[in-house]
Amino acid sequence: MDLKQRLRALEAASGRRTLPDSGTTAVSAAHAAPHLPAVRAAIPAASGRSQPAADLLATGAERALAQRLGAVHMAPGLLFREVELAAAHRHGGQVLGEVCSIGEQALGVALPPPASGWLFLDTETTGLAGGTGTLVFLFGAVQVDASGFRLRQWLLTRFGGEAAMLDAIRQAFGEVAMIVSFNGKSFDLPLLRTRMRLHARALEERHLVHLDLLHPARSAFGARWPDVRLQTAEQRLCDYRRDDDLPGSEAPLAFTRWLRHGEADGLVRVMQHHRDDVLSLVSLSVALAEAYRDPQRLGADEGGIVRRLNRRGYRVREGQRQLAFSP
Amino acid sequence: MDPRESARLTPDDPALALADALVQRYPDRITARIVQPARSADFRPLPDWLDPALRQALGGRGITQLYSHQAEALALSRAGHHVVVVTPTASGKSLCYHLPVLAAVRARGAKALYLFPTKALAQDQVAELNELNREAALGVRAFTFDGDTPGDARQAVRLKGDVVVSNPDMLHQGILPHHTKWAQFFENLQFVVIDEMHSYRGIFGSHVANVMRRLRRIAAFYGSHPQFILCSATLANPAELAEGLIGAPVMAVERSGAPSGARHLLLWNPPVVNPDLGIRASNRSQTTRIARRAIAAGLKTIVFANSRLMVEVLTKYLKDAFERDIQTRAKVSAYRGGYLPDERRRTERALRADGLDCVVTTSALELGVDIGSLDVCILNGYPGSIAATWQRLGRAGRRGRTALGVLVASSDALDQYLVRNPAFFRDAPVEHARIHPDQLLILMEHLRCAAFELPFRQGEAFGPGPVDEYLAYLAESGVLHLEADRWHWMAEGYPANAVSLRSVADGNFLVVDHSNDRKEVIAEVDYSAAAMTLYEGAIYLVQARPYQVERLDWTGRKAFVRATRVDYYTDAIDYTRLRILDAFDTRVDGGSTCARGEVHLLRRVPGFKKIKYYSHENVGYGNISLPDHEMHTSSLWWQIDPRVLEQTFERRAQALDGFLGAAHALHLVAALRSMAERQDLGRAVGDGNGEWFATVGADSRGSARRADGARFDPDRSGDDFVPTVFLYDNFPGGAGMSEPLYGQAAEVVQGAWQLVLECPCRQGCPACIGPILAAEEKQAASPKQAVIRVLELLGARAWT
Repeated sequence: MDLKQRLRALEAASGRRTLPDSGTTAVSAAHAAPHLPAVRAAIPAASGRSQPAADLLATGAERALAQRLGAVHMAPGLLFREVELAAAHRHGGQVLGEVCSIGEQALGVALPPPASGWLFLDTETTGLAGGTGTLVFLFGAVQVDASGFRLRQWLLTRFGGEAAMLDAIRQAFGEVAMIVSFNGKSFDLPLLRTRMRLHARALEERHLVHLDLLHPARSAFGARWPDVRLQTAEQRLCDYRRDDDLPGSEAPLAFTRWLRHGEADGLVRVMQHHRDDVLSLVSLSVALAEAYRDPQRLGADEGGIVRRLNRRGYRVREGQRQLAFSP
Repeated sequence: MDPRESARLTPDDPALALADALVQRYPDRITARIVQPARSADFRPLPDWLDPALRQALGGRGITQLYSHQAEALALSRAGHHVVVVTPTASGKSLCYHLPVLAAVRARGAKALYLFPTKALAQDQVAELNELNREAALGVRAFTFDGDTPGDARQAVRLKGDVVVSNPDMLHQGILPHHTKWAQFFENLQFVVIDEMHSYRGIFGSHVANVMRRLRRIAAFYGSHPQFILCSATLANPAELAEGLIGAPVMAVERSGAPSGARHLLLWNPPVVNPDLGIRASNRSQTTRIARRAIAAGLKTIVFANSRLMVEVLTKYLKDAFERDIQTRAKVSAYRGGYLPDERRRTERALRADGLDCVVTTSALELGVDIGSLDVCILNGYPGSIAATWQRLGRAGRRGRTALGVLVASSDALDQYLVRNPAFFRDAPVEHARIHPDQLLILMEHLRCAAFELPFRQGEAFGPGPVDEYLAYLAESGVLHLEADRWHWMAEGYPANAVSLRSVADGNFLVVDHSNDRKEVIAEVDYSAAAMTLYEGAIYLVQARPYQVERLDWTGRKAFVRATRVDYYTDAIDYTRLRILDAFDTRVDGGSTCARGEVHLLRRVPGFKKIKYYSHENVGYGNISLPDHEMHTSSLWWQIDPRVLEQTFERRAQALDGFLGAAHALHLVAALRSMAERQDLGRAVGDGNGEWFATVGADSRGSARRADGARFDPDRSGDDFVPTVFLYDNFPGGAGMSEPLYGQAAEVVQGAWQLVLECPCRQGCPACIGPILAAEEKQAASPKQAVIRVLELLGARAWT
């Protein structure tokens, strides 16, 4: 008996329930890959960011994927896509530019000026369990600085591209003074630190303010909403509805199917989903800041907001028409 | 101590006087008196390299020199060896690891990981380290890290702990899969301490060996190659076990230099009350009687029972006897798991301060916990291993006085065997702790965990060699992905959560108590044992407390039980057929053959018997309908040449009885030598081709059946009649228990023969040949004699 038969027999005899073969679990095929809106796609020229060598080393499937995404090969196994966005770009009820005027103390966090660089970031991973075996296969952000708004996404097409991705992330962190996330303090950042450590790198983050929107959102709406997930918040506060969105939970499968079978459709949809996520972070910052200024208008829990602000050292009392706070 | 001094002390030595009195009064109950003379300390100077602060800390605790075993362990460890120290209870073994560790922490910022099998032991060691620390402000920070460590304290332990004290399960599920958070710790990890090493044997030990492979792999990733210091109770093969666990050569220190007073051990067998059935008086009443005498003589006494229930019963008997007695007012207290920590601390303090005369306990007091010195230790029943017996007996003993231990045998067959064979306590240890880290299923589980922790390089070794073939299998099942020269984890889960170190695979059944409307998981049962123990109607015992299985959800892997009160237990009827697939080694001796190899097992459990306690009567039957269970496993087996059998036995049915009884006795002796739980080492009698198998039937007689369940009458079958006794690993793929027994097969056969021959029953009884009860009185050849003949044909010799 060869090893495979032997193991199959032993696993059956021991009552082990074999893992479902993740490659054969179907992603609903009804969803055809959407076309990405061609928002002034600014594919950087070969100078600087793209490495022609990386492109030459790419497989046919990788090149086709790059083309569909409007991305370039930054390193073997790493695609990079950058899109410049107008300040007037509308995402739900907000336009991006509004985020520059949410106020220095919005949400009870002292914010550095937008011109010093803000990064609204999110990751897609191979799992939610955490631990060293969970991989970040897509990192992306809306980067705001003096030059405007840029959507930047780094996507692995192979494990081998990870080191280059981590270096890109380190560089992006170095370019800004604040990062904005949703649950990043407990999920994305620990994971990034783990990946960095596995590649003998460190994430330089001491200079950064970290605004994790989950916490101010929970203070304001935890008692009002059934849950405080990003998509709940964007629906209720930003009036943003996604069409044909790939559920976040299917992202790991899409990456697996790409690796094992070269299926690109799932990854294209993950990129779209992820783009919506980071844009929602910008809109949500605006909407949340508004809810903190005027809780009643947006149905926020004023008591919860006041408690958070007080905890953070702001002197605010309930019952004011509008909350005006300063440290 | 000078032996003459010991002799001089005798008149004022009350434990010795009690031993003498008991031997005089109950000569027929005491099967042996084993005397270990007092031993004086063998001191060595503190080594030169020990820094002044450490010397000061030791001095503060009255230690100015070391025992020889401590000095030896320190020197070996200093020279860079992995070390295992085998020492008796209370011999200062923890200094063997504290000193090298503390010195390294202070000299070069080393970090150390201590692993204990239980949380309580971990806490005791942290307390001890902290005491040393305080004596001389050593500045060493020791913390426990286990399931009880609060979330906000974990970060501090990871970053600030010099010595982190944990357990293998936590290392497996909580530390290794998050090793990047422990990067600083691993970068400086120089020592790993494994105490109570003997508890890591069998399945658990095989898992722990793989956890150690993972630990060394992660440490190497951070550039560390830690040294191991292991401590163990007495075993026949400590260095072998240690090497198996850590995968590297280990030096053993086996001679203790600690002083000890004289120790007398009495092996006590309760009197026979029914000679035909071999039924003896309960050991409970005997234990109470001995304890009462000891307490009345003013001797501080500890009584060990094997279940919590028995602790309560014995405590009640002793309290009833003493606490109403105004003259003595002896104080008796119980101590066991399940009591609140405060209550336990109170009892410990009272024991140290001589405020208690007797404590009745379970294994909870076997190890570690400081309770001061005692005079008499009574074991109500054999604790399951000789190593544990000595650990418990070690609780009694103080300077310059004799310690008395009494092992009161229960009616259990193994107890009976042991009290009749004092050599087990007198001579070199016979218990071999076995592990099988390359057991395929266990190895695969840990390869998953290891791949999650860090991608494998192609050609990378895990254990003895490269594992690419296994990794390819995992890749094929979608768990790993090979890219360039790396195997990357690419599944969603967190594999360590699916692997329990206490079982082979993840098909475990949960036993759910739904009495009182709340659903509480009270036990976990291995998949392979489920059919035999969790059928509907089964009485499932937890700590001797009976629960009845009301519903078995086979696919959901749950058994719903309810607490009950019954006077019977249940025993599944087991139709197990084994077919020999491959013999790896065969030894022919006269007319008999002994071999080891691979077998195919098919088990059907058609029904169960209800058996009344004590009388062992059948009081009912029930049907079971469960799927057949099939597996490949390793086995040891014996056969006898059919011609020799024909010459020896008038009828084949007699020979079959002989084989069934021999299997029972061989099983007991083999389990003892391999330190296996009896249910983990299976036994079966059949023909070796899976054509027929034999069991003890409903009429308590041996009977044989064919594969289709039809009766098989060996005397009417013309075929060659080649009965075979199998002792097999009761786990798919084997667990490394039966195969090493091949090398000790002669001792096992000899032991089984002695067990049966020396049993005082006439026809054979449950203690020697198992449940073959209905011996035909008039028949010349009793089942017992048939068993003895079979064992003699297998090589037992009267003159050895």
